Amino acid sequence: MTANKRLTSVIAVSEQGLVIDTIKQPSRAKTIARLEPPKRLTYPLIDRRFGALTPKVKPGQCVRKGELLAIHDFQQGLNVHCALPGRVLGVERHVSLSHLSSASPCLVIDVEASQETHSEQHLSNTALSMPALHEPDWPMIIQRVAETGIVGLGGAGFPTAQKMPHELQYVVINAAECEPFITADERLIIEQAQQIAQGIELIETAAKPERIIVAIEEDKTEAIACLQKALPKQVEFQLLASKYPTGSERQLVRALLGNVPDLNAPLKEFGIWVVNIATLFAIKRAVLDGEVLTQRVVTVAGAAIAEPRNYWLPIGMPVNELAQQLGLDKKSGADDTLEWIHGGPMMGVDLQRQNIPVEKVTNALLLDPETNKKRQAKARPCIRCGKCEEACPEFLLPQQLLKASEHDAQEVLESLKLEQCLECGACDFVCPSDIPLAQHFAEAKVKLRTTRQTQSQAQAAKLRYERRAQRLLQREEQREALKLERAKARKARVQSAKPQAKVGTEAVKLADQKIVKSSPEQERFETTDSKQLKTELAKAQSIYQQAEKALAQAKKQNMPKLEQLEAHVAQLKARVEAAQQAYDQQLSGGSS
Amino acid sequence: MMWLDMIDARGLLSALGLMFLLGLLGSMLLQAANRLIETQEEPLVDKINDCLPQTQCGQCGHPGCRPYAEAIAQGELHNKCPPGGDETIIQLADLLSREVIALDEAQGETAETPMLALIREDECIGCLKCIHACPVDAIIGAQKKMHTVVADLCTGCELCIEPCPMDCIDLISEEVYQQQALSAQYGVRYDS
Repeated sequence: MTANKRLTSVIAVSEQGLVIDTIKQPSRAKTIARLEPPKRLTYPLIDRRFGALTPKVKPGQCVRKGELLAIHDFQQGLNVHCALPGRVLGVERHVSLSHLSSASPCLVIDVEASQETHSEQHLSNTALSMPALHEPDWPMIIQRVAETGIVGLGGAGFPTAQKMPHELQYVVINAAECEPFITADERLIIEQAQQIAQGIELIETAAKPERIIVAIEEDKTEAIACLQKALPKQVEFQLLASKYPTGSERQLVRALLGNVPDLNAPLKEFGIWVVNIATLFAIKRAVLDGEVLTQRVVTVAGAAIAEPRNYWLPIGMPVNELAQQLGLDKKSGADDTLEWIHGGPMMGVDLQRQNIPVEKVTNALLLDPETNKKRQAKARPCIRCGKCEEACPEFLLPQQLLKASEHDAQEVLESLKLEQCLECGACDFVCPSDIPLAQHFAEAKVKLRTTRQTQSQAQAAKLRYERRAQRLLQREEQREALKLERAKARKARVQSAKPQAKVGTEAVKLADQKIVKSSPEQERFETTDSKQLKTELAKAQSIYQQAEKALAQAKKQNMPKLEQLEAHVAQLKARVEAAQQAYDQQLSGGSS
Repeated sequence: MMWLDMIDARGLLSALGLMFLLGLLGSMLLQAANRLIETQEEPLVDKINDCLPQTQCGQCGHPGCRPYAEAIAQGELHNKCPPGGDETIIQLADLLSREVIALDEAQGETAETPMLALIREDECIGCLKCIHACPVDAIIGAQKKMHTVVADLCTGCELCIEPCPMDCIDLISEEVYQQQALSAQYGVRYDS
């Protein structure tokens, strides 16, 4: 396959979508620049997906460049490393990208306080603690990616290590970069095509995937040429029509691989790995150079920026310091923070004049009054023009979704497949009434998710309540059963203790025993104690009565040895009489 | 008596018989269909129970959500659930085709934010009383050992507060809980 042949076909990711003015030209042509190191570095200790990170350094501690600052207790691949040498000031509350409305804990590093000199930061002098790996296998690469805290640099920020399938079949290298203004990836490709090619080779030798596809928008001619020169022949090359949005992961997979995986299942399960080209570069640096992720290319552009350009910015650098170095703060007038937009004009976040730090996901910082104006424009009523439906790359019905989200009709939202909304903002862009549709949908999605969560929690509570009720009932039943059993046992014991006039031969035997027990030598009662005599009398009487009863029984049933028994009974009677006599005597004797 | 002659007795009988047979056949068919395509509809009590918030707090006067659902099915008013608030009332009114009525304030008020119980753990003496009181098994601990509330499982029903002999259980909003958890985790230079 020749290089030229590879480039013949251009596919569109979605039949719908927007053809928009990309405004990439100004920043595309200039090399990636470096700035002076900032005075402070700020690292948010909250991940927007997985929550709190745990700091690994103490206030006052000196940290080197590339030193581990914070980890997540349970999730792999969220490690935060220090971008510059400095001293830890502590944990302070600052706003960050994921928490714009309220302050959240951030680790603050004072760069000026550092003893070390850092006259020049260069790409290659960063490997502090991690050794470079030689001919690593695939699990080692995944491990390294997790350790170096590499996340999706395209904007999603999902830990890359968690996205890497153990058995890799398809790799899609995403270089679409479809948002206007942003050229960070494009510029990186132009300058570092060689290293990117090394990264691809690394993956190929380690994981041996079936296909490796590089997807890039057709208008990035210089980047395409650079890649073509550098990339090995077996790597497939796919040009994408420049239509917003082309960079969406699932849509790329659908367009390139044809099979549409289940929307809810992670692509990892199908052996598919979609990786942003800047992330791939970071992986190469991490594995082959032992460099942790502490800096990234950020496009600084927009109508208010005189000289749009890409910069290598240390992660953690506050935007105010960037504005200072670019000489933008003097122009801003009364407000000390400019109206930055984080990300592109379509999907980016309006920073609301907050001073947030550059994060791993920061691919662009825009100062564009035009975009702000459009975003802040007052929404007018929907005129049902239907343009949003033509723009939606997922073929959803934004009009109806809007109506349903206004009425909070969650079942309708679900049936309209709100979950499939990419929040790409194509509908916003075309809306003549300036309705912030994507924002509505994002909020509705959050609401839907919270409702689902409360529902599932209620279900779980219900289950626990029912199980508990069942358990209590069971315990009560067991207790009752035990009580019953014990009562029965007690009754049985009492009954067995009570001498019973037993029937048949047993009765005879019993009577025999009694008779033998009361042998004739005891017949004389020689004690003088009246009390003892009385008990002896009572004993003799009871034995006699029992024996009589037994005799009656035996007679009734015509037992053998009746005569013997009768004789015994007579003997016993005599004994009772003797006892009676002795007792009487004692009584009379005592009284006389 | 011309008209009597005109009636064909045999024809009449056979017509009647035929109609009877047809009716019989139809009824048998219907019976069979009923037995074959019997729909297993969820009982009403379960449906009502699914509308309730499952806090199991007993503020409605019943010892849990299910008993209240059973009472509603028997005709009790559907406005006695403060944790569910207006939303639950609307859902129930929808389900039962009843009117939407205001919450019965006698049972308590709807909390503005979701609440949960938190044990001041150094004061806990390990008496097990709150564990026995918890309707959703959200408290763990052993005799004479410290107890703790599993925040994710707590429904904020307040039933554990009253039995505690040490008064060491607080009811706090989820937000405050998260703030506390954060400051516990970071400690340094973090005040809420």
